[in-house]
Amino acid sequence: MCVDHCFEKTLYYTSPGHGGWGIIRIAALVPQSHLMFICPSACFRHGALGAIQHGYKDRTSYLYIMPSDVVTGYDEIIMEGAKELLDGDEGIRVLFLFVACVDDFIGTDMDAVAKRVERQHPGVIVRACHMNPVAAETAKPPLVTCYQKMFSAIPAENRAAEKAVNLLGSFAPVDRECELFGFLDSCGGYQVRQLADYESFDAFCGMGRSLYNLVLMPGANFTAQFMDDTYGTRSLVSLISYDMEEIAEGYHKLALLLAGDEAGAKRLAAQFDFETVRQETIRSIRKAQETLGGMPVVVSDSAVLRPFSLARALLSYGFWVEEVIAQEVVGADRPAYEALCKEYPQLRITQPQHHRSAILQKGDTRMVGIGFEGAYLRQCDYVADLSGDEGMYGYYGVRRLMRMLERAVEQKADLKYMIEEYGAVV
Amino acid sequence: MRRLYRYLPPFAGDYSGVCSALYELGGMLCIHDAAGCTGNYVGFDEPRSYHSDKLIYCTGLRRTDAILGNEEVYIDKILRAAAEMKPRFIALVGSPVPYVIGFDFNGVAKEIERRADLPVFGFATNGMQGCYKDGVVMAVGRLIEHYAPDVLQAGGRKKRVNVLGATRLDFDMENLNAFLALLRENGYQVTGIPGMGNSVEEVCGFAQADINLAVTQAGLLLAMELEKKYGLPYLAGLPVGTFGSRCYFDCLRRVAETKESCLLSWEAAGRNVKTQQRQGGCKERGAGRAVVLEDAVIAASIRAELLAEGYEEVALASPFGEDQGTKLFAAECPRSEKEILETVNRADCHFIAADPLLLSHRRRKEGDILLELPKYAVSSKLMHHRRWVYIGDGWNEKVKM
Repeated sequence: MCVDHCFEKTLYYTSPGHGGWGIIRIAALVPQSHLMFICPSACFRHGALGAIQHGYKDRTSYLYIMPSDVVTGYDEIIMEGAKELLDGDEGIRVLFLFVACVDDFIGTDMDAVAKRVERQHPGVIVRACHMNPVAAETAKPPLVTCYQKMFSAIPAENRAAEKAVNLLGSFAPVDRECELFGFLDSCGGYQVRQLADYESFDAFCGMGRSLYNLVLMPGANFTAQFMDDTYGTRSLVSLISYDMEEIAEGYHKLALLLAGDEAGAKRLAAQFDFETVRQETIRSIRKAQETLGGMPVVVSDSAVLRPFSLARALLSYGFWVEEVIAQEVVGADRPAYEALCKEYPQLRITQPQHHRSAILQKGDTRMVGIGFEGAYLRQCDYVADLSGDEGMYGYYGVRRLMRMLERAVEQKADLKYMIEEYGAVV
Repeated sequence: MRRLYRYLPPFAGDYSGVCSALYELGGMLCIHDAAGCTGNYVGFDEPRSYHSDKLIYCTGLRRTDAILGNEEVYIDKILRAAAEMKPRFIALVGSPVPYVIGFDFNGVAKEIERRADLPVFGFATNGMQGCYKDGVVMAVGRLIEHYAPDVLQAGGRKKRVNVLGATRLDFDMENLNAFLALLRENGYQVTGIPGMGNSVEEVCGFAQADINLAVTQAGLLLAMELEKKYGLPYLAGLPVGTFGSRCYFDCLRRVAETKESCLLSWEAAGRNVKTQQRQGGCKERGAGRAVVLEDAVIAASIRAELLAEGYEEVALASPFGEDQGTKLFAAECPRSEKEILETVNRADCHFIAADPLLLSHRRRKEGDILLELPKYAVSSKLMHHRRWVYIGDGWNEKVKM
């Protein structure tokens, strides 16, 4: 087990297994939106090809900029491009204007440009966004700002008044099989609202009328704060977890938020049969454990936001976690990381983007990789194809992960095919 | 508006061209960017990434370091990696941000070279102007400049050839192998394939060659430079189809005999295309007009075959930028999405050859023949599975006229 200094800043290696939800794919979740990129042509290649791959190319376009534009600015080019686009497509309700890294050094007043476009095209909501990984290590990286801009498209006149809970930070929808739906329904008919459910912009605006937000990943905190300030929602951070105790605690906090006091929270919790759900989850863990039969597990940060928390939970359930593949320790994962350092000093940790990762290690490949990147780097025979905690929450998430592990060991994975099917970061 | 692209993706950028050409050579390629440019290359412009042990890295450029000109951060990362990974050389490859902040690629390359005691090449690519083709020319040109001898060693046997301008962005291995097999069958020995070969020595294969074979626009630009510098003649073209291959090897024989460079055509081969048509039973066909939307050298090679098959006129259109090559082949150069789509939709042509992604925008008419030419620099892995061998007789197996 390494200590903190094993997380080195090196040249970054990008493995074929590196991928997940990028901001383009996330922003395209806003129904009836169009994403226009104003950037050097090369910057949008992955975006355009990814959009074709994932089926929303007709909702993206780009305006390429030239070196001379760096000097003269490109406000008028955006105005002209937006006009041509919007005049030719009346179905666009929201236009996201994305600028790339270079704009961080040019300083275009993109909010002003967005307002000008909005004035020229009444009925279209225009928001300026940044696709700028050059700002990745700042307080507001692109994903954080982009996510907030997406929700800022909901008109401010919407007020939090409806019995509904928004899930913030989940891109693929959480399945209705998740006990969260049943629990919220039992609390007086609360609905669950999530971005990926909507097909029309008007329906999406309903998220501005929900009473509560449940924040499933830290990157959505900024958006939750914005929604609280703008629409009057109330937010609770309840990160996706695979630890039974943490899940129970999350539901308790949610009940407390809805009920307003401890007594009310206990009453709400008692109305829902969590015990049956828990028992079912424990059974699924045991079953998966038996199926794996002690096979080593590799946990990757491409699968989950908090790989150390997942590794710790799996170890506590009796799985043999051999390695965690993580580029860094994110704040919300630090307690688990520190606990693992003490409890499981033999656990190996590898940075997937370290320059050494370019050379695949030779070793026993009879193991299960959770997540593509770790599976690729260790050439795992078996792969649980979880990416970015997609669709996971609560006890349901644990059960689903257990099913994935069981399915994974049924046959050797065609990892290359799986990676290609999933698609890279877009 | 010329700058608005709604339907097509941008094609592979200049930095991808540099990386693609250097990929196999044992170097450490460092793309100076935040993440996205490296993601473009590794994820979409490099078919060899899977199971590869090549050293392709992103420097992880960050805003504060860029603003403060804190180059030492990146120099340090590169030196640490080089000390451990032991590359043959280092390439520092540019992206838009370094261009905007005026990063001195040659200066930093020299500094790293001094401290690492390795050849280090700086490439001021910017992902804005030009395309992969320009990167290929830069990369191969720079290596030749560094590694090539002052004097050629060719012994005048006239049968040794060097393949210039081939990269995986233009060709898949199946087509390259078909080309090499044809060369061997016709008695030619290949001395090197910079861009698709696997050693630095191969980059200087031209030094042992009698003729450079330029197989793309990039190859033609490089071949012209080498002719100027070393007097080495070249042939620009590829053997496509039965007739086209005949034309190609006639041209190649002529270059070997006369030591004069040549662009593939029936005239250059000393043959009358009408005779070819008659021999091929195409006399009565009057096949109509065609347009080939590809790299100008590849497109011209396809034209040679199509003309012999009876097409009256075959237009060439290269969306990869105007240069001396496109001028020599009289290729059109559509410069925007609008112009590319107009070319794909030319009403006077019923035979259109292009990448499937471009062809998908053809408003279909009865009698249209759409020939897919999947190209990694255009459609990346999305259409790679539809590749086929058009070099040599492979063309005739697919294209039943």
